[in-house]
Amino acid sequence: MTQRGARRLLLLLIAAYAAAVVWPGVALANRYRPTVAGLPFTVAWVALWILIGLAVLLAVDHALYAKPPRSGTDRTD
Amino acid sequence: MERWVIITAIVLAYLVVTLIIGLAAGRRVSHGVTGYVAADRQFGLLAMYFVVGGTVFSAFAFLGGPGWAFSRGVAVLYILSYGVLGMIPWYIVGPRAARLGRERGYVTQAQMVTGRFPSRALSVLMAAVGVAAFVPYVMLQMSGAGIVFSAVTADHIPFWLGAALAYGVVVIYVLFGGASAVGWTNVFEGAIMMAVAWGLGVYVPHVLYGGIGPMFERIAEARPELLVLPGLDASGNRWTWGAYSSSILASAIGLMMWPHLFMKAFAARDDRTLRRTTVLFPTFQLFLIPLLLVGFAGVLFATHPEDPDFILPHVLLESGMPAVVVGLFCAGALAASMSTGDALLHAAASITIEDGIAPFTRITEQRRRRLMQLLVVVIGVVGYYLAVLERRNLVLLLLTAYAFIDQLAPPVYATLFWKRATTRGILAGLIGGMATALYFFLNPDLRPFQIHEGILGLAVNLALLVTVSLATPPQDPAHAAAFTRSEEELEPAGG
Repeated sequence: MTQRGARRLLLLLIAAYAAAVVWPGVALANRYRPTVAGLPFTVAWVALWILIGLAVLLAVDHALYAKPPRSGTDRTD
Repeated sequence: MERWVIITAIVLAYLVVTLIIGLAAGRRVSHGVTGYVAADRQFGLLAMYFVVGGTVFSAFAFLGGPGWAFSRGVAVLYILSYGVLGMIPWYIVGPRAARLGRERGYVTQAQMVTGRFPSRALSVLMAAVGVAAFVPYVMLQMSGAGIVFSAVTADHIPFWLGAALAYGVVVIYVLFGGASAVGWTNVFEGAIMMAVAWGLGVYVPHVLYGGIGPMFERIAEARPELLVLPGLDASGNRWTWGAYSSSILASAIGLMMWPHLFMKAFAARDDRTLRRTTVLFPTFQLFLIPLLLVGFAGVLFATHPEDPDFILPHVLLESGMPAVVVGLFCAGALAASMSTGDALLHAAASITIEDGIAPFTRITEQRRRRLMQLLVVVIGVVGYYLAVLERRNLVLLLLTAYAFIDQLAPPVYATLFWKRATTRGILAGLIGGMATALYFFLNPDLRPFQIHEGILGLAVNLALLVTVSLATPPQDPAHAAAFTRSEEELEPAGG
């Protein structure tokens, strides 16, 4: 993945994340049932987005640094 | 042995270990300003992970957060919603700031912004905003330490002594060790915070209700209004969607604009370390969930503390938890308070000297470092004195501080991303944004849809930044481009 590609993907993640956790997005998930691992659905929804954020960041970071040519600003010393 | 003696022994052991780590870490860095302020730019992933996590999550995570869950229900999800959202941009912004720091010797946020937009007024303004926002923040951390001590020892260790013990340790290690001591103590403090939070969050609902599911079933029956967004406001009425949503956005935008957090970009060893810190941040943030669960556990208690911030110690004491559990909670809460308070003290001293005083005088590096150390003690003592005198309304002050910290976002992003921005545009936007935020803080009823004053300030800030910049002559293109270069422009041959 290129640096530009990473920037675009992260912008997309920010937009999706914000849409999911503020009104009106979060209002769609605003209910008690079904509970997830004992947590009310609303709580699980917000927790799920923390995990989605982690997963996308991991994927972007992996793609950016996995293969040569190495990225522009990374120091190897 | 009496309970409070066992609890105090555990907490004192924690304080002694912290002090030893802090003093040992400080011996390993150079004696210049970069050593004291940015730990010689040598923090690796382990240090950065706990520095950022430990600094972001303060005593609020152990006291105020569970207090919100207890008194305002799922309104507390706003705290869970903004952390990762606010951290994602750091993946791009952090390395760019760090590169400029390496190339040009910056160790503070204002140095970077005024490097692009030369203005001593801007430097002082940014330093003043930062330090003004730090004061209630430091006081809140000291109060947190005092509250914890007095609550769990049944006032055998009173508020003033508890705060003095915890912050005596902090001042000593920050004084002698600077950023390096802050970093390595935060590794220890951060690990304790996480371990205690997860331990309590699983243990307490299980012991009291037979699990998390059964606990929420009972809350859903007894207090269903607590489990519907946007939750309740401080007086128990329904909160508004405008306030809930804009609080998330204002906090997400402001999160990494806090000068004490921003300057950690200059302490990282390299870009990969900074980026990995960002990637792993969500794993730290998850530790808020178990703490909120303990806050929810308090909903069903027959007795309630006067101040919701006391709900966590209240739950532990009322349910007769073993002294060891209470002692560990106490250490965890102190760790959360101290890992934020140390960074604030350190940054307040560094910023006052580097951004408020150094631009106006020629003083040697040795003297700047000495002055910073002197200021750490002065700010620590003044903060402590104020915290003991005035204990109320601090949370309100802190939430408001975000409104002013938000106004630093346009200057920072313009520095790194917008070539056409000018110094006058930045100054106009910053002053206009601050004035707007202050106006709506003083007149909260005039806010449309109860939107957070930080967001309202940002609207004015951005409008002024763009119009005034376009109306004034552009900067020298080569100068501007040196700050806005993207990663691929730096190394055209690479990927």
